[in-house]
Amino acid sequence: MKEGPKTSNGTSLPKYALLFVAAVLLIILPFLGIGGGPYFIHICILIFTFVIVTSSLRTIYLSGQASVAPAAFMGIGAYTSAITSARLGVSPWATMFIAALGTMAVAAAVGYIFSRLRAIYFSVVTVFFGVGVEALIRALESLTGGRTALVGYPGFGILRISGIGVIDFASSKIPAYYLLLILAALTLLALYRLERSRTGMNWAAVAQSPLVASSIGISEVKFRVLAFSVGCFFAGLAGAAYGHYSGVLAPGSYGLMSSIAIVTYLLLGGQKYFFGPVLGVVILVAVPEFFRSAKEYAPYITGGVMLVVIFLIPEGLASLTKPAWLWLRRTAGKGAQ
Amino acid sequence: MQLFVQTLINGLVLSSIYILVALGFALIFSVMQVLNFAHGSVYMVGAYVTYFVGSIFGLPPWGAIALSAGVMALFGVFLEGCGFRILAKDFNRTLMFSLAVIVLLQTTADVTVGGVLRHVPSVLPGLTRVGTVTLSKERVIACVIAIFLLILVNLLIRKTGLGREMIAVSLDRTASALQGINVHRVSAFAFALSCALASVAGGLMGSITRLDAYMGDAMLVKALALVIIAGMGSIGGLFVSGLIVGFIDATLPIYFGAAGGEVAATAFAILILVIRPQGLFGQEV
Amino acid sequence: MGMKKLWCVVVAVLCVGVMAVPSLAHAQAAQKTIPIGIHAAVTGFNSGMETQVRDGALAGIDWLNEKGGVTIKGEKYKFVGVVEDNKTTPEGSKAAAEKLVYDHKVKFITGSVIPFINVAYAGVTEPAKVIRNVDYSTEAPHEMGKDLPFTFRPNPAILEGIGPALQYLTEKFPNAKNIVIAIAESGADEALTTITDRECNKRGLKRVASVGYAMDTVDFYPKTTEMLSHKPDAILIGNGGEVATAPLAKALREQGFKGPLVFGNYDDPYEILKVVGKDYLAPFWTHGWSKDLNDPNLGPEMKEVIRTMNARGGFHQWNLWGWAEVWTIAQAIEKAQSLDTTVVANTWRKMKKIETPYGEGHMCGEKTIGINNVVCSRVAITEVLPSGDVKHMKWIPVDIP
Repeated sequence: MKEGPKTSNGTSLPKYALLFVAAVLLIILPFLGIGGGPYFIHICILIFTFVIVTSSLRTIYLSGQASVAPAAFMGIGAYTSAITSARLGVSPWATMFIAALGTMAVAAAVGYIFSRLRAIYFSVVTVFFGVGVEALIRALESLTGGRTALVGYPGFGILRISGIGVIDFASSKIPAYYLLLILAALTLLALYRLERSRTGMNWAAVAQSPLVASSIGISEVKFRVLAFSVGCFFAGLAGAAYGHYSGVLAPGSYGLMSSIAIVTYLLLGGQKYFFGPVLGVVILVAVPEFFRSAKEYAPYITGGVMLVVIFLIPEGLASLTKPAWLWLRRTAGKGAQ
Repeated sequence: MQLFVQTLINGLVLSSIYILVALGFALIFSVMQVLNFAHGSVYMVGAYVTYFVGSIFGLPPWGAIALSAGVMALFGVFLEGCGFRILAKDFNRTLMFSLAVIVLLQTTADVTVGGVLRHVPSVLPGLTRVGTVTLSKERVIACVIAIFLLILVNLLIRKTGLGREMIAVSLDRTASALQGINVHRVSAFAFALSCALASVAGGLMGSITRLDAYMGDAMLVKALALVIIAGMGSIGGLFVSGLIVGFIDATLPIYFGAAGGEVAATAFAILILVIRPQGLFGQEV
Repeated sequence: MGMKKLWCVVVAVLCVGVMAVPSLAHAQAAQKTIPIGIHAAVTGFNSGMETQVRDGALAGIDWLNEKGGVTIKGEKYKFVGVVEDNKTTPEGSKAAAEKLVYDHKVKFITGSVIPFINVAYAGVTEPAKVIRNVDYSTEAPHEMGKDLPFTFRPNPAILEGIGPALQYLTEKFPNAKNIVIAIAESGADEALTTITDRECNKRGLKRVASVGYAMDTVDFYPKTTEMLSHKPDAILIGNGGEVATAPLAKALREQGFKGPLVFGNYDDPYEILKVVGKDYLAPFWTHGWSKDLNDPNLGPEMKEVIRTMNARGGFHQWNLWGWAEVWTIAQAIEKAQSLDTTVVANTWRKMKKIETPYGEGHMCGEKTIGINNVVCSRVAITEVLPSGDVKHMKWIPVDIP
């Protein structure tokens, strides 16, 4: 079979080209004036945030753990960062990462305790954990504002960078757009490298067959906890970053239904594919916004899309890329490859 | 003393309500090893169908509940045949399917009924006294029905042929099929019964409190807790897990506030899961 | 096999894409229009109440247009309502506000109800100088106040409700002294308790306990047991919504509480009656409204709303909130003779007379929240009598200094 042009490390050139085009598009997107400026940019920021969370959830799934608590860890990151920046006067730029580390620590502890559970029982315990975290946020009223929103904590404020000038996060959404875009890109890069590394292979081994893995010396517990911690680090980071952008936090955003929604983004996009989360988030965030005109009936469309994917495209939307690409090549007259 | 007796009774009532709702959920979990996350929505729809059937056909409350249970049983067959059968034990896809069902059912409830508060007419209006404590008769009935159904379903599983087929299917689908058991029929029946039970629970709760499109959300987590604490394969165990969770919810919020009580309840569920994943009475994991 | 599936999906997406076309088209009107954004929970757990608010706002807009709209410096304008769903979530709230402000380019918004939803989108409207008329708020500074100069409220809320409800209690039940307040946990708990204590002290009443409950409580018996253990003469309900307060009231009655149920909020008496039943709800009163068109005390403005909504499919009291919001915005614009929101806001604050469905009101709030952004009019005392009838008893004027 004749193969297309490749680079030295074996990835096909068209794939790089595609990534390049996508990168350029994302960089100039805010200035294209699509769909009412700031509203469109806001949706993009939302998408970037959930791409981070969903991709990191995928990393957890790679190790064979189906966690149903990503929103809870987003919440831990968001509230930790907001509260420390408000009460201790530390800059959000620092608290964002401190909160992510804190979330990772919680995840490590919790992940260790839960690592003795497998399959469905692991998922169920994460469900309870997520419910518990949301309840805890509501219970610690004096700290978190309880059921009402937490407000009044610092945003990203004004950055003064010599050579570039002043970047004001309060006056426009564009700085936040680039911030979340950069965070998303870095996250994807980090997760991609991790997946291809030895650690990633160990995760796959542990997911496939824990017994075989342990027999060759791969500690199931160690790698499961590692995957869980790494995944939750990014979830916490995304939660914190978005929190400082939006200026308001409410426990309702981090409950069971939000977690299930994030899991759905992953499954709809396709958990076996690296870009599955991106696809799932874009479709499931963009579709309801696009269909606002349908008002009360809008959720039907989302539900319909989900059913179509569940039954017709069980591997997720990303599994269509190969057939789509083949179809494109065929129509372009390149013949069967 | 009065407070103590009252709290005791409150705990019993709450336990019964939870057991009622969890029964159908436990049935599916035990027989098909599937967590039907849409169970809360089925419960909610069952409550609304009970209300509508009662008001449109003018049926007395018992009739409405029975008819609604029948309707929801058919819905259960549909859910199983068109959904869960195809998705089998794939946890991820059943979760996504459950979410799709939840979204569709809740939207339908929102769109058709809207926000006007509805209340299912009481199956047994009036109050009664238990010792020094007054409570509504319908709560007493709910307790009685919960225990009755629990025993009934338990007997169904242990003593009838159909029940034994369900146990066989839950242990090994392929072997059961080879033995000549119609696995699809058994699964369909399990789902039908589960949805019927959810509907009865919804109808009773709709008269004890009131109806709204989101009443299923909170109940789902409770049902999950009960089922996990009891363990897969144990229906009778719901009695114990129901009492535990019911009493936690009846007493702890007094001291820790509503949210605090929830934290305590979930912490307990997590504790049981971590120490003893098979639950108190379930099959070995 | 993959190809077939791909086709199915492409066709499905195209079909579905066709349905999206309406959302892309923006209607052009020859007539000059003022778009008013309606920020409401069309889906999500508060949709029941807020779809009624939305309907009231849309009906109010039609009513205003029939009366000729507004005339600004000789030009006639009509109003157009643009509804966006906030999904009862903070993210949805923000997205809906963004869409309204930047896509639909509205300068005036009505809604929404839940405090944290309103807080979530304040960051969108205030910097953009978009006037918003919220349904409900507490006196917390991040909900309304001098930091939020473009946030107004035309409907009475918590601040206005507790005093009058307790006042009526002292009139009807002079021997009732001990009050337990039931608070729907919402973060406003402290504020509510403070106001209650203030109003109790003014009248020689004693708040013996505050009991909090969650809005989605399954069974209220444990909570009502707790409330009754303090042996109250009357139980005050300061916030919440019928979804929770109705079963709460039912549980209280079932457990043998015979004293007055004092609703300092605006819960619909008809809804509460439906759930609790007429046999043992009384004595009970609320600031919700009667819909009896034969009652001479209801006022022509309110009856106009009731009649209009009945003609449109049925009156539900939350229609009043939406109607009040669009009506007061229209009056402020008319008085200011300008569409510049800073001018409108400043003019509005100074209005000594402004019409609402509840009667004539005036702007107030300067001392209490720092800015005159609240329309103070009057609250109704609507009682459910032992016969099961819902009767409007009186109006009590309110003022927030």
